[in-house]
Amino acid sequence: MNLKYICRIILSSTLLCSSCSLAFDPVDTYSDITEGVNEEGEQVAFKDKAAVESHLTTLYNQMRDRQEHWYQDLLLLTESHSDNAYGGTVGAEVIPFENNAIEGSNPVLKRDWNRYLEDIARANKLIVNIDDVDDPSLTTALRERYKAEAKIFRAMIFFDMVHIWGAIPVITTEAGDITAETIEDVYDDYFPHQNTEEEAYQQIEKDLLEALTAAPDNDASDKTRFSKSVARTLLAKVYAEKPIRDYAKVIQYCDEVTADGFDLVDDFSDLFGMNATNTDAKARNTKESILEAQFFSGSGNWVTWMFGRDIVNWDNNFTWAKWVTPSRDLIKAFQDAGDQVRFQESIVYYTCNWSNYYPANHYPFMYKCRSAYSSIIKYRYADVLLLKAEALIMGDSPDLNAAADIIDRIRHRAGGLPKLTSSVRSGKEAILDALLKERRLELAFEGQRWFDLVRLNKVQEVMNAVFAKDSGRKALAYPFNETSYRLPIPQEVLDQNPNLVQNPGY
Amino acid sequence: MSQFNFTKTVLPIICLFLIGLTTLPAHAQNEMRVEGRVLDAREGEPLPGVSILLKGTRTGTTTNENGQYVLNGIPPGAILVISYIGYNTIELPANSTRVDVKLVSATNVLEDVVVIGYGSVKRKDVTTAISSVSLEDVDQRPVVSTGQALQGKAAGVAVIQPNGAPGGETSIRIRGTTSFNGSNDPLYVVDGVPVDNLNFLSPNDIADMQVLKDASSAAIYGSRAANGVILITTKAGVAGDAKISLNIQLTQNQVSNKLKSLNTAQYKELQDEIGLVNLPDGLTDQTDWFDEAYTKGLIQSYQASVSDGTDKLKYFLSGGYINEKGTLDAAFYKRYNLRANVNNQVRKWLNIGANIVYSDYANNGVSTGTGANRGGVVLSVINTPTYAPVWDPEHPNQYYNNFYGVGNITNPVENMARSKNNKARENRLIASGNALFTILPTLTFKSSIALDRRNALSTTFLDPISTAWGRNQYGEGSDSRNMNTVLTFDNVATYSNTFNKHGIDIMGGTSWTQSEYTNNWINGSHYRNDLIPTLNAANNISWTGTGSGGSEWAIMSYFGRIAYNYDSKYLVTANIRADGSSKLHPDHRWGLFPSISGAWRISSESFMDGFDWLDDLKIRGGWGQTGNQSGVGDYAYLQRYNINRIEWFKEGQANAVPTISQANLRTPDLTWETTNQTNIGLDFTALKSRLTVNIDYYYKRTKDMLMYVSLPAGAAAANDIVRNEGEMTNKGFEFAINSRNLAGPFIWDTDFNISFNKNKLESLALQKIYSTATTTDVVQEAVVRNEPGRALGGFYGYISDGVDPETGELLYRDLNNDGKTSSSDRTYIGDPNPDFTFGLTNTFSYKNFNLSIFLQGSYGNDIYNASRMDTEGMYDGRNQSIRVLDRWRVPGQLTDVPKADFAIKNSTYFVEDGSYLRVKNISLSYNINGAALAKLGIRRLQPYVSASNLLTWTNYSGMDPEVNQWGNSGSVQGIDWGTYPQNRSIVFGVNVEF
Repeated sequence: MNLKYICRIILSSTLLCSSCSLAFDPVDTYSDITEGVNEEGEQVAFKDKAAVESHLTTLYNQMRDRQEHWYQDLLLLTESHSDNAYGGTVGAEVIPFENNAIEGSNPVLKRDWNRYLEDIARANKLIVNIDDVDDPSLTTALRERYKAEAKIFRAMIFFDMVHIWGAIPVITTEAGDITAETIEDVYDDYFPHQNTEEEAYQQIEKDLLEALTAAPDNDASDKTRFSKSVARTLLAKVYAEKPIRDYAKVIQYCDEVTADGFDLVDDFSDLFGMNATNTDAKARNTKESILEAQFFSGSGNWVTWMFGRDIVNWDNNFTWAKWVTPSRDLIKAFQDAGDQVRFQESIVYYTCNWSNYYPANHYPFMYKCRSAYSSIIKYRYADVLLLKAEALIMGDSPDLNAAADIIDRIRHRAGGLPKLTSSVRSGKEAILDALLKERRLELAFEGQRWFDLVRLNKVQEVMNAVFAKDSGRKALAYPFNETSYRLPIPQEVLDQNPNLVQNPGY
Repeated sequence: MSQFNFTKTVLPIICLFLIGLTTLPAHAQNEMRVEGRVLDAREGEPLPGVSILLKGTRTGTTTNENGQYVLNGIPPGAILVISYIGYNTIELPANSTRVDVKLVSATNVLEDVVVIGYGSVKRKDVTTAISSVSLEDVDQRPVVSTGQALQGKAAGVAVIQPNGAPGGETSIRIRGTTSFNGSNDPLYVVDGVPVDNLNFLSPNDIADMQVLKDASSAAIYGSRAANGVILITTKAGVAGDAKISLNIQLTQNQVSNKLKSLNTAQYKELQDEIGLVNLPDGLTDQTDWFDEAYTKGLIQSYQASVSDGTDKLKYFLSGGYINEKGTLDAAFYKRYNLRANVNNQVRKWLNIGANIVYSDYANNGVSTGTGANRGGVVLSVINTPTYAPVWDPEHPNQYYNNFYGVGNITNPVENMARSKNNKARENRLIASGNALFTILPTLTFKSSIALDRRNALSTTFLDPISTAWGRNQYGEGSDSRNMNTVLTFDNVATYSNTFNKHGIDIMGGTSWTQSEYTNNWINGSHYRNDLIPTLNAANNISWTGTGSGGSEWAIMSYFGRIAYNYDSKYLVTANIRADGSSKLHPDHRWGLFPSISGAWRISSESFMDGFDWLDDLKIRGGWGQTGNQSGVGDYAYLQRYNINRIEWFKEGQANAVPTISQANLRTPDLTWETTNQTNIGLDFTALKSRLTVNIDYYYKRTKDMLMYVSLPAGAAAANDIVRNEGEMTNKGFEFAINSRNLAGPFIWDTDFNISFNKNKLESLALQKIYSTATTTDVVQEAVVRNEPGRALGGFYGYISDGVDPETGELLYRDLNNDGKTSSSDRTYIGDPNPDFTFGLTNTFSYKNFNLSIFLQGSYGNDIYNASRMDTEGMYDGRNQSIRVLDRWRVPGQLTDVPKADFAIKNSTYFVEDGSYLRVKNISLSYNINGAALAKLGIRRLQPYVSASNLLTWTNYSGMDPEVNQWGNSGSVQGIDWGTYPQNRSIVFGVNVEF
């Protein structure tokens, strides 16, 4: 036995690995390793211009990829929770919207709260970090422009949120790394307190005003951008809201949107219709559209399955009941107004397999997102015009005639509906009712109705009455009252973050 | 990065060994020849293959087929050591030329060798909590997986088979749940090679299984031992014992419980009350969906092995095939396995061993744990109305699908068809080789290297014709593959010696483990027809669902152990292990895991001399630290980015490149999860080893618990972080007793074990409340809540106060008295953690008959029966179980079942007591003996019959109380939601040995 020999084998084989390294970089993922550090050796948010632009694309892609919260769920609130629609299915996530039983456990609200705030954080990442990017090709002008686009996006999201919940955390910073050492310092950044509704509106106003200087101008051939016109539209809408109401500014920004070159399309069906062969949307980037999300072959708009048939794929997911079923009350409103054009663009009847609210062989569906290639129009000019009319009626020095002219213009485009009668034109209450009704018919299923009722303090008056008028509606669970104007903060969000406070009434 | 310095730390230890050399034994004189015969003391049969060794040397031989042996060159007065697996080793002086021996089958467990990490000790010298698992009856039970073989057999080891799907998936917890999101699986070490799961292993190949439960035993596997360690030794050849074994087994499975659904008339009556579905008149019962969906399952198992050996060369070869066809038709599990264990004493100082195992297994599941509206098979059996036929009369190739407006349900046969063409296959090769250098009789060095390569291929295909979803997608298919290679390189030096009464064992070593993983995936849709399923026949290859990837990790370890005993009376063992993991932050990646344990053998004290009936009495105590990092991702500490593809086919984007978006938050201080465990135990053996009792108490505190924290959205561009976030404790008590009640012609053995464990989540740093486990779509609310101060997995919801006789509504308690039923009225409504679990095995032998009865159970755990929400919820057009016939219908009616369309919520109405006691297995075998068999060379012919899950005593109303739809989850337990039901099995088989 050669002891030396054995020992040599042993020592060499043992030492073989004492030099093995434990440093393994990700194989298939970009990470801190690839995305760079600054001179101090700290990881940077963006290493160059391309990284910033990639992130900006990510922001824009929220419009393409995340319609579940900012469109689908928003419609459930604005339509099914108002008099325009029923929930549509039997699920616990939708029925409470119809019968006013929404409470903190609602999974739709939970999803929305989190996704809206994720959107905010994405916008913040760009706004907070863009000035630190070490890349001369990213000029000051470009930095300002990108920042402005992100701020418009952030304002839009905050506006939806404050509409729904009132008191929300207004986050405009990016929280730092969490370690055992920093946890005390960053805890309140990760577990933020709420701001008041007014503070939220002030932040929205600030973002939009700042964005007005550097945001891109409206591009008539591309309505998917966060342009100056989107900022102006938002400002008009924001100044109409109670916390920072200023009707003069509403009129000012409505007029500025007009000056940007927007106009009503002549044919209402240009907005939501299909082409002659039913293979694509009839039109995109119309002169009326201010901001829209567009969908093309290869990455179609799945949300269409949630509301009805997909015209370009007729049987796609048409075996189960759909959300946001048009209400008898809305159908009657169209019929009473003799409003054929907008009725046909808003509601369609199909034969289906279910009979939850109507007989299966003649079942109505919301029709403003009718195919996988249909756009989702977030803001359009008719809304801006009617908002101006509202400001003219509600402002300190009302101009009811000018308001009536706007309403008549909208009605004329809708298949030549008759002008408002002179009695309506002359009474403030009457014309306000006419305006609200016009908005309901013009903007049905476009995410407006509930917010109109809230903005004009009509929730109790309209909603407590509709259950008696509408035979298809489920029984009212709890009457609408002054606490109904805000929805509950999701219970899981409260469980998660002890710094948040539930809204009154929940 | 802190580098562990090998040269400074480990080299001195090795040198120490070299210094401590002792002299070689002196050569003897006046050699003689000794011969004899070895017989079984009880049966009187010759024992072949018994090892006869000259004590203190490697000189020796084995007995031949007639039990005879011859030894030459024996010095007079030398001691012969006669040992045989399963028998007590005895030592006899060679003071005559003929030494006949009668070996007693191993009742003296104290001399049994117990495998511990990187070594072995005698049971009597064990200082820690180690359970040896009896595998005696495994070859007579319908055991597909190793986990099933372990169930109920060891105190402190809780094994749950969460569902009855083919393949026998099990959830194994040693002394409770220690980690919230990290893995709670024990570390499996098969023949010295750590592996992540045991799918590749045929239970028939296992010779020995030890469970290291406390920290002081497991700490030698430091970083990966926080959940305990299961050491498995596979069978090996025995010198002189040429053996061919066959085990053929057929098992018939059927669902243990049948739930009945409403017939058409009852269904129509219910639907008229709910008012959502308008059914035409004249519908009649057409289909019993239970009979359509469930069939008799069948397991065929064939296992064969050949083994033999000489003094120097020993080998064991085995092959097996198992094919399980599920009680739900589309589900199956198949496995082929081959094994070769070879061991050769090449030189006096060199022993070479190799283990090669290849295993190929395939399975297919069916969709469970989801509602009938999403294709869940189990629930659709109840939820599909009985008027419906299987096939659509108007479209003969399509499943019947017109339910008059019931939201999106599909019949169970269609739901099974949706996964019928899916197949998940994996093959695995584990090849390991080791070299044992005997430098001195007291000093050995073992170097081993293992290659563990896994290839997985998973394909799916849904034809574009027969099912609604398939038509919707125009047919869809996918192909996903991955390959994983894990290399393990271990070097261990062991020094063992006795100086007078001082026994000392020193071990030191290193271990390197490196893993490389690659994968790729393709998804496609739009097939011409149902004939060709591969993706070349798909027109539309998903532009987002196709790609490839990979990852790597490694662990470097240094470890050492010193064990000292004085006369086997006072024993102390100390371990230390240093581990570095590539998955943790470079500044925090090294962890040091020490442990120490001691024992006092009271029975060896002189003052105990009078107690002849007492074989062993030992008090043990130990403390140690173990680590865990197995649940975290390979690069968890880094901020990483998702890659998002841009629509290149859109105008103006032809040359677009992907965007990236932040996926998580970085963790600059990510480090080991550490479990501190203290253990106190008592071992007691008496009455000539006929009675053995083991008692243990333990306290485990896990700190820096690894968690996936999902922070409130909004603060940063991503919300998810993996952190060392909290603390959790487990404390418990284990009791095991093994008794040989009757010896003699009639043998009766009893093994009983019982385990109590209390789990508590102690603290969390960031988020305090984790809600999870959302079940049926009608109530989209999580039913499990985890928060500090409570045991994991508590059910959370409303307290139901029964049915209001006036309205028929289920009443919910308004806990905050605000007049509304809202989420603030919820509270804890159940606890899935059992007070205790137990197993009891009684074995009877008389002449050639063997009867084994194995009972097993669980007490004090709740089950959330979410299946009932879908089968008794009466909220839409789904058919319901016959329990709803008792529903409230007229004011004043007193009943437990609310009215149709009641307000359904997660509540105590669906919480049930999940305690049970079951006859897990009864097996009866008969040894056929006879001269005729001997002439044919048949040594053993043992036909047997057994039955599993024959009887279960429980108050649980669902299919089976042993259930968890969340499978192996640590934070969610005891939820039954359309879970694949358990089987009742009848087994016929035969064991043959040549």
